[in-house]
Amino acid sequence: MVGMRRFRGISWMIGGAAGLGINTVAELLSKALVREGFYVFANIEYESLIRGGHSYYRVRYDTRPLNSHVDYVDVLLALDDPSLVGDGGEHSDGHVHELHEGSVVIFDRESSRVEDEVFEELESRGIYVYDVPMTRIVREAAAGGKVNLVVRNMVGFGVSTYVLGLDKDLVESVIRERFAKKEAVAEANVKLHDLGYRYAMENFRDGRRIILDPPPTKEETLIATGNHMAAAGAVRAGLRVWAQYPMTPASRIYRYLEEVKDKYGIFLVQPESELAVINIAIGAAFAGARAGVATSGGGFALMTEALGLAGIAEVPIVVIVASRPGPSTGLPTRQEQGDLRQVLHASQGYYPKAVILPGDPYEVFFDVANAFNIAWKYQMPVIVNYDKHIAESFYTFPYPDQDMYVYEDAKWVSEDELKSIREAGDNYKRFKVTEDGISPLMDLGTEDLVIWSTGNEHNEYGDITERADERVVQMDKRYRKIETFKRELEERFNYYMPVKVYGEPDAEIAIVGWGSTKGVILDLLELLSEDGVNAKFVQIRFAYPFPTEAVKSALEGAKLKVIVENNFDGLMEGLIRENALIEMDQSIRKYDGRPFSLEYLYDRFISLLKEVRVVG
Amino acid sequence: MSTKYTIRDYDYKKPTWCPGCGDFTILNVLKKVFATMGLPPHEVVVVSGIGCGSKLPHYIRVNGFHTIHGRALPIAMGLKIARPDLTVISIGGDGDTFGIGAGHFANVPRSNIGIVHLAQNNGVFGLTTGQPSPTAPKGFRGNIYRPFQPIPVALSAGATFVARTWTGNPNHMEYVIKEAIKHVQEGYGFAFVDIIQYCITYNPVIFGEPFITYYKKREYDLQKDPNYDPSDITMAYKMAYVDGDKFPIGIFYRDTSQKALEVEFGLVNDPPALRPREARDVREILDKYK
Repeated sequence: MVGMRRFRGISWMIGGAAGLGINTVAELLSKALVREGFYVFANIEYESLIRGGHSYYRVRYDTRPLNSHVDYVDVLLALDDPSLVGDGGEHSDGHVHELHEGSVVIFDRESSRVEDEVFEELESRGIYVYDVPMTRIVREAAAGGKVNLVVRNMVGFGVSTYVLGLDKDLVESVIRERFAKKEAVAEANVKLHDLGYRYAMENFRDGRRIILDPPPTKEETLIATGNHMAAAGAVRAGLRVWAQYPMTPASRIYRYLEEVKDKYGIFLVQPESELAVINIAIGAAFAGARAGVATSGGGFALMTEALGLAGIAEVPIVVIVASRPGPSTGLPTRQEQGDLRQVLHASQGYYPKAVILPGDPYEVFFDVANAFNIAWKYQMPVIVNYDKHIAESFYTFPYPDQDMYVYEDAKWVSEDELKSIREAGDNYKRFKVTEDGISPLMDLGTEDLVIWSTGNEHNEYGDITERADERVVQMDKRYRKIETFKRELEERFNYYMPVKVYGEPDAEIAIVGWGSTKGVILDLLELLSEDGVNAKFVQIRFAYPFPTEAVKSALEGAKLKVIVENNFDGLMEGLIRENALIEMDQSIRKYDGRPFSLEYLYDRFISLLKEVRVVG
Repeated sequence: MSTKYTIRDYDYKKPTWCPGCGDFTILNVLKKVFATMGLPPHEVVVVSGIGCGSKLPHYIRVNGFHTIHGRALPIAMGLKIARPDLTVISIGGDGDTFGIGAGHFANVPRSNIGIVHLAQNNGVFGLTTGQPSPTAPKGFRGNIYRPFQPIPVALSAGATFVARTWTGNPNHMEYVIKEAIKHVQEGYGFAFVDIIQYCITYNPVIFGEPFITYYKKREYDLQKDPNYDPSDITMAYKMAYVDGDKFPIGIFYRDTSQKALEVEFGLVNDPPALRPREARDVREILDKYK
C-alpha cells in the first residue's frame, strides 16, 4: 500500500507451508542479527498441522531495542505461492498487501503458478521482485545426488543476507553452529546459503538493498523465547522433578529441560495426562523436591482439582500456564490472554496461592525462579501465567544477571524442635499454627517421626477434622501466609516488582497492560512521545495477591486511563475494578487470536484519543 | 521373625469405619507386615485416594498422605521418584483405582516405578451410600456396566507383580503384601495387589450368599498349585478370567527381569529430594541464546 505508515527498523518475513523450514531460517537470521549487535523481535504465526497450510515468521530489527512486530513487510521471502497471493483464504490471504513501495520480494517464479499480472502490479507499486530459481539451484547443487527441496529455504536465506547487507561470514558461522552435530548437513546448508548469496550478488547488483548499519557498540544480549527462559529460570531455582504433557504453546519447555537434565540432575517425566502431571509433581514436592509443571489452559483445567489439594495440604508447587485462545481447543496455535480468571479461581474453595504475570522472556526467567522461592517459603501453589506471544516469540534482552535471583529456602523444622517433640512423646505438627501462618517443614524419613497430611480439613497434626473451631483455625492460618507474603511484597517491592511504571510517572494518560502487551505498549509509548503525547505505561505483574496499593498510586492523577488486553472480556480491567475500585476510562481489546502489532495498537489508540478529544 | 518393631508401634487413631468392615483387616495386616518386616514407621509412606478405605493413613503411624479421588497412584509415583529410599504404598478403593483413576492404573505400572498399590475392592461406593463401583456386577443397583477386570488390566499395563487376596484370609493377605513389598525392595518395580472385600453395610452378600461363605468355598490358592507358574504371563491371563466356581488368589504374575524405574535411572542412591537445596549456575544455558 502506498503511503503505508512505517516505523523504525526493518521488517523481514519468511512465508511457506509448514515443513518448509521457515523456523530454521527465521531463527538463524535472528541470531545472526543479534550477533551483529541488532535488537530483534521475531514472532511466528502457524496452524495446528504438521505439513502444509501456511505459516509465516516475522523478524523485525533495529539498532535500538524494540519489543513488537509490524504488519508491513520490507523484505518478503516467499517460499510458495500462498505466501505471496494466498490460496483463496483457506489458509492464507497472501502477503502482497503488506508490501509497500520499496519493499523487496524474493520469489522463485519458475516454480510458481502465480500469474504475470501479479508481478506487473507489484512492480507498478514500486516493489522489487527478485526472481530467484531456488528450486533449480538446489537441484543443480545436488548434482544428480539426493535432492531435498526443503533446503531451498537456505537459498532464500542467502539472498536475504545479501539484500539486508549482513556479514556473510557471521551468518555462515551461525548456520554451522546450528548444525554442529552433523558436519555434512552444516556444510550443505552453508553451500546453499552461499549459492543464494552469490546469485543475488550477480543478478541484483544494481537492485535495491535494505541495509541498516549495526550499532557502533554492542550490548551483551540474548535472543530467546519465554519458554527458553522458563526452563532456565526453573533450573536456576534448583528444579529437581519436572512433569509435563505436551500442549501448545508450552510444549517446548520440556525439550529445553531435556537438553540440560543430565547436567543439572533433573528428573523429567511425560506421563499419561495433565492429571498425572500435577499429581506427580505434588508427590515429589511433598517429598521435598522442587517440582514444577507447564501446560496451557486445557491442561490446566485438568490440573484444577489437584491444585486445591496443594492448597489445603500446603504443597509447594510451580505451575506455568502458557495461554492460547479458548474456549475448549479454540485456536490452538494462536494468541490470547484469556485465562487470567481461570488460573486465579482454579479449584473449589479458598486457598492461598500466587499468580505472577511476566511481560517478556527476561521477566519470565526471574519470575519462574522466584515462583519456586515463593512456593516453598509459603508452601503453596504458584502459577506463572504468560501467553503464546511470550512463549514462542524471540525477544532480544540484556543477558540476565543470574545473581539477581537469590535462592530462598523453605522454613524447615529445627533440630531442637525435633528433639523436644521426641522428648515430649509428641508427634510432628505438619500444620502447626504459627503467627506468620507458615508451619515448618520436616523431611520424610526423619528418625522416629512421621508426617500426616490430607486434602480434608485437618488439625495441626494433619488428622482429619470436622470441628468448626479447627476449621476456622486452619483457614485463618493458611490465609495468614498470604498476609505474610503481602508484607514481603511491600518490603521487597523492587525485587518482585508487582507493578512497573514506564514513562513519566505524572503523565496524564495511563496505559495499563499485563503479560505480552508490555512489548507493544512500550513501543507505542515511544511513538506517542514523538507525537507529543505524554503517556505512561502501568504494567501489572501480580494477579494474586493483587498489588492494590501500587496500582492505585500508579494510576493516581491520570486523567485518561486506557487498558490494553489481548482478550474478549477485559479480565484485568475487572480485576482492577474489584480490587482497587478503579474504573478504566477506555479499553482496547483484541480477540482475533493474533497479538497486537505496533500499527494496529497505534491506530486504535490514536482514534480513541480523537474520540475522547484529547488530541485532534 | 522378630524385629525391633511390634504392631503397637504402628498404632495411631481409632478408625471411623463401620464395625465389621474389611478395612480393619487390611489395616491390621499392614501393621503386622511392617512390624515383621522391620520397616521403621518413618521410612514408610502410605498415599491414599478418597473413600472409606482411603482414610487408612490416619489410622496408622507411618507417613501418610490422604489425597484426592483417583490420584493416589501418580502422587505415590512422584513421591517415590523424589524419595526412592522410602517404602511407598499407594492405596485406594475400586472407584479410586479402576474408575476415576483408571487412566493412572493403566499407565503408572508401565513406568515400573517401585511402589505397591493396594486396591480395596468391594464393588460399591460406601461413603456416598452404596452406589455401584466399577467392579460391581451389571444390574447391581442400576449398574449398566459389566464389571472391570483388575488382573488382566494390571497385566496389560505392565505391572511386574500382580496378585489377588481377600479380607477373609488375613494370613494370605499378609503373605501377598509381603511378597509385593519384597518385589519392590529387590528393585523389580511396580506391584499390584487386588484385595477383594465386602462392604458390610451396602454389599455384604455375593450372589445371595454371605461374602465370607461365598469366597471361602471357592478360594483357590495359586501358590498351592504345583503346575502354576507365576512367571508365565499367558497362564496369568488365563487364570485372571477364571470365575464362578473357583476364586483364584495369590500371585498371578511376577516378572523379575525388569528393573524398577528408580533403579534404572540411578535415583535410589541419590534421591532427588535429598540433593543440595541451592541455586544452580545456569550461565551455560543462557550462553546458548547469545
